[in-house]
Amino acid sequence: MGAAGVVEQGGPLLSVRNLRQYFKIPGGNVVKAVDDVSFDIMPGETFGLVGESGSGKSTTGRAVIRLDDITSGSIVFDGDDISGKLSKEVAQRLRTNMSMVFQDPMASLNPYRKVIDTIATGLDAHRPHMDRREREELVYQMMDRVGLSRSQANRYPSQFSGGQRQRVGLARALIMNPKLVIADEAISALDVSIQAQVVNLMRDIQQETGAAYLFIAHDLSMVRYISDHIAVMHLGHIVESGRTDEIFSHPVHPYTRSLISAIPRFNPQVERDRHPLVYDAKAQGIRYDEGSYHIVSGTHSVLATDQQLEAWVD
Amino acid sequence: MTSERKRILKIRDLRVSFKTANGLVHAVRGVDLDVYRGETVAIVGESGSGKSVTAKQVMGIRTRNEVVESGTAEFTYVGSDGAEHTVDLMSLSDKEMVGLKGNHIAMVFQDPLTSLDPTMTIERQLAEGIREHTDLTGSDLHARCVELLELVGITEPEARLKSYPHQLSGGMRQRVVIAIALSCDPDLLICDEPTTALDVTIQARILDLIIELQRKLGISVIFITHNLGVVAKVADYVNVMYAGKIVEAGTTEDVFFDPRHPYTWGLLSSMPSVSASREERLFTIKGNPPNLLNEIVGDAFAPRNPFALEIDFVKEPPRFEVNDHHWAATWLLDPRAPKVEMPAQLRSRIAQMRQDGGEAR
Repeated sequence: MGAAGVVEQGGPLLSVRNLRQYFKIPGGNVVKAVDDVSFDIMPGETFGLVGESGSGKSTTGRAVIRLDDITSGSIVFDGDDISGKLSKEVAQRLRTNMSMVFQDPMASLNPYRKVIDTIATGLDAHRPHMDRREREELVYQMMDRVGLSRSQANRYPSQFSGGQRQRVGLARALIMNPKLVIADEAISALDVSIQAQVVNLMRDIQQETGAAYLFIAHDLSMVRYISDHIAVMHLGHIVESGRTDEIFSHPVHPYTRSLISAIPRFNPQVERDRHPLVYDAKAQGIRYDEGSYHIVSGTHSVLATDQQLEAWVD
Repeated sequence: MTSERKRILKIRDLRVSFKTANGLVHAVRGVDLDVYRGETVAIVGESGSGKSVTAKQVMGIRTRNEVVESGTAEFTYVGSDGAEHTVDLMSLSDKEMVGLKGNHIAMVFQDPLTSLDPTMTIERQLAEGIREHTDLTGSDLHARCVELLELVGITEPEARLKSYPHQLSGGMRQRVVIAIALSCDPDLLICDEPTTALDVTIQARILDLIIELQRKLGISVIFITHNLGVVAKVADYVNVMYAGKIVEAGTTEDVFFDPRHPYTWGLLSSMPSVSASREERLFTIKGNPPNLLNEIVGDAFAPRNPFALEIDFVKEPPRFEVNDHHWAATWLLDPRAPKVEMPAQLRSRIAQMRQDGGEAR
């Protein structure tokens, strides 16, 4: 096993194989929220995970950062196997090198803590004996980077606007210089003009720090804009994945096609008479457990049976 | 569009504030709005721009700390006596308002789960309004309920009538809410972000439904949204709202192909389009919307406006007519103003849109 932080040239930063996350529900039933999901994230890239609500995209994100104990499968992050019980060392490395930004900045920030302390959460946990001035300086630098002014450090979350709060959440996630940031619907709660600000900021920070993003969202137009690779999830399965241009120029799976066609176009002359494709797995006789992954081209793969694939690729 | 347009709603100089612990929040600062029969008018703006507050005045929905400072909302309808009536919705009593609600004006809210009663079957909730406004009972009432569910595209209406809201999917619930709103044949339907809480694929189908119903029933729709893609799909007219004021209004073509207000430029540019290059940076509107607790001097958008003139910080811009159905409130349109072009990125995007539109035709 390699030393921590040493990733072989070209190897993935995060490698998820056959991830399953089942939840028991009252009545003895089991919800298969994530069912046999595999994907890789390369260092410094943005991986977009899209799908409708209930598709398992957030559950996948939570499993990767080990908020939930997974049912089965393997997760290898930065050379460490993080799918089983975590040793103290591995847990330490995981907690400093992977962080998360949540959807609702108001719900994910402690209203009684000054933002300086919220942003310093990681420092306090992992470097508790840090000099106060040094801690302050690191927080200030991070605030500069995410576009908050230093004079706001002693304020509380309620004194910030939605976009600023999300910047605080981003600063907290970035303070330990993580290699992977999981952004779970991090911009969906923001207004359009503010969404663009935060997305641009995330791209700038990525260029500076080389952090990889797992960008979880339902808004395909924003995901297309920010992601290098995309995986489309439906009912716990990844139905199609590939490079962003592969997915958008040659979508194969009918679910992906319906998602892309559902993005509103900002052109009244086109949009008025456009009827998005309808996808109904049951009616179209598509069962995900029957299919297997087929490579369409390069990194582009689709979950399908042989006959389905033949019918979809024309 | 018919040559003879009939105005059914005329809002003038609407000003609404909210009393808060920190003082008066001026949420709506002088709004004029016209709605014509059979047309869809969109109000688009960010959260806090006052778009919902404006629409709720039409329904007489007010919170306790709400103060209506001025304004009239003349609503024209054909009463049960067959004669045409015009009333000012702002001066009606609650009782008089009840006679209009449901019957002539109805509203669809954002979250279908909170607008339905979880303890009542769909049939009871659907029948409630019909009973209030008509004499239908028994099997006639039931038949009307079935008819309404069919109208909004719900299969197996008989079975669905016996269901409770939690047994339905989000899209189906919103269809039920729309059915309830349509149950008494309103003349005006207000849709307040009706698809925001839904998944994109469901959103597209609900929008198709609203368009189809509007054409079929010939009703007028006020459509409130922050999503310009939704506006492009449903609206005939667009009102762009910022900080409690309408800053630009026109037909959908006017606003999308020939936007004049810098805020509209910003809104249109900051949307990631499906065809735009992924390499270029998303355009952003710098800063945040103003705090409406403070008095606003000049143009509310001026501090965020890269094209702001000196006068923008001093005097509020009046409306400048672009043509007889398109105006914008920005000093840039004043004949004395320096010539300012919209950002190049947006101009090329509009040129592309014109081309696509031409091909689609």
